[in-house]
Amino acid sequence: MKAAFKAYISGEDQGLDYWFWIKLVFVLSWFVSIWTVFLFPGTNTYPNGFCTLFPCDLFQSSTIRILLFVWTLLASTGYVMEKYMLPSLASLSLISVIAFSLLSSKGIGYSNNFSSGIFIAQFLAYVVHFFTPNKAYLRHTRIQFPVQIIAASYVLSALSKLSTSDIYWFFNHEGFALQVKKSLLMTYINTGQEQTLLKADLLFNFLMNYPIITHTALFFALALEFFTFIVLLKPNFKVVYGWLLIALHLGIYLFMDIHYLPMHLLLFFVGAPLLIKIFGQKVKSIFKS
Amino acid sequence: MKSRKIIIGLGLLISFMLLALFPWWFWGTIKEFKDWYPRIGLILWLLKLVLGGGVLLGTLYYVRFIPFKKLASVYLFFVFIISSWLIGEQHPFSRYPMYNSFPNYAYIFVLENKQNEHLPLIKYSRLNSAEISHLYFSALKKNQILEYGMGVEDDFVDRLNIGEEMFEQIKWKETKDSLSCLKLSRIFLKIESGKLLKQEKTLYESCL
Repeated sequence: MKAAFKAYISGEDQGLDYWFWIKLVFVLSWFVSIWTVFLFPGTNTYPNGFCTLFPCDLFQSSTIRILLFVWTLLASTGYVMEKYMLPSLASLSLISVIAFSLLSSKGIGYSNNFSSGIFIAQFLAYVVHFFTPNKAYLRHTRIQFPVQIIAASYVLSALSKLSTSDIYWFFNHEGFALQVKKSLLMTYINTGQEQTLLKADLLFNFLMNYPIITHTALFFALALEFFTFIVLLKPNFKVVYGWLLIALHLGIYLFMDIHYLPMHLLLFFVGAPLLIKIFGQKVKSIFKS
Repeated sequence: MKSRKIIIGLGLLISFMLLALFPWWFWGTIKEFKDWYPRIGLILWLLKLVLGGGVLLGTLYYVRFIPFKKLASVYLFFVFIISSWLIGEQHPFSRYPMYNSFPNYAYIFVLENKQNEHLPLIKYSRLNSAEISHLYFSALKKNQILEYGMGVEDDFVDRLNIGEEMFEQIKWKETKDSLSCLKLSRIFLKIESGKLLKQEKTLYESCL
């Protein structure tokens, strides 16, 4: 058990089995994000990403969307089964960019989903392996390269806050209280749940009346995002830091009711498949004894 | 060997500094050189090419000493940050601007019936409130309305029928057909002197 936990904290890839579960869960969660692209064509009213370079109105055609779906299935199967990784990852990278560009071109967001970046990072890891074959190095880079993309995203978020609002970002408790209220009101508007209105008022008043708590919480949130780059220094740093970032997302959910499952952190930072395996072994050993 | 590295390194450093200070000279065409230096334009242009070649060779010489394997663990990190910062909100690049500021106003978009009663959005629309909010700002951007917030864009919103454009972009469910009248409204919240103020504006009304 101790050895298993030590292996977990090391933050290193634990072999094919571990890698298989990461790929499977990641590609399934990615598919859940993009499935509407195959069924609802939508309009390309606000071209974004790939759709600024390519006429995305082609994807209105059901034939094209069926072909895209089949291509996605084939690429996903190859990816999960660790077959033809270079063409599979190249395909998934391109499909992901197309899919999120299509979703973003409807004007409803999605330009900042980093699943595409993760696929591209993994593709680059396999390209490096193709030119300089080294299995041990590949086991490191196919996790570490996506970690770089994820870390960069959090640092970008911090830089964006500092460049737009500078240090005033975490001093603005009134503005934050309003955004919390807005977020909870949006939940009420979506669902009609009256208790959300009460929560909105309570939290708004709390944040307005206790600015020190708000300033402190926002400061730590900003610092946590900004210093994400330290996960690049050693593999085991990302395990601990991953849990801190998950706590950040949990805080955002509790205060602002923003539902976001940080699958990227669970898979590439905290190694959820390995944790589940260790937990399963522990439960098994308890039942055996 | 060491002195060679130092000399080449210094040469590269000076070249890159000059490139940063006088980029127009390095990118100048042969015609421009002849215009700038009527007598010796061609010679200077050829000299520029030789210098450029020297910089390239010097860079390739130094590349041999770059610890690529060590840099690989941070390379993508920096490339993604720089690319996203320069390119902006074009997938897969983004500056992740969500909540990068907390303005003292907020817009919320609601669905109402003829009696001005709020209707639960997810019952009638496949988009949620946050997505409709994105739609509003996308519509403003598409119509070149770059100044917004605190209701300053309202004249343009009315004139350019932004509400109607949004209404047509929303993916409605069949349940919408059971309603004879549907209003898409914007609630404007503002903090003033520590108090929360509220204003509502109808963006579009579809009544049979």
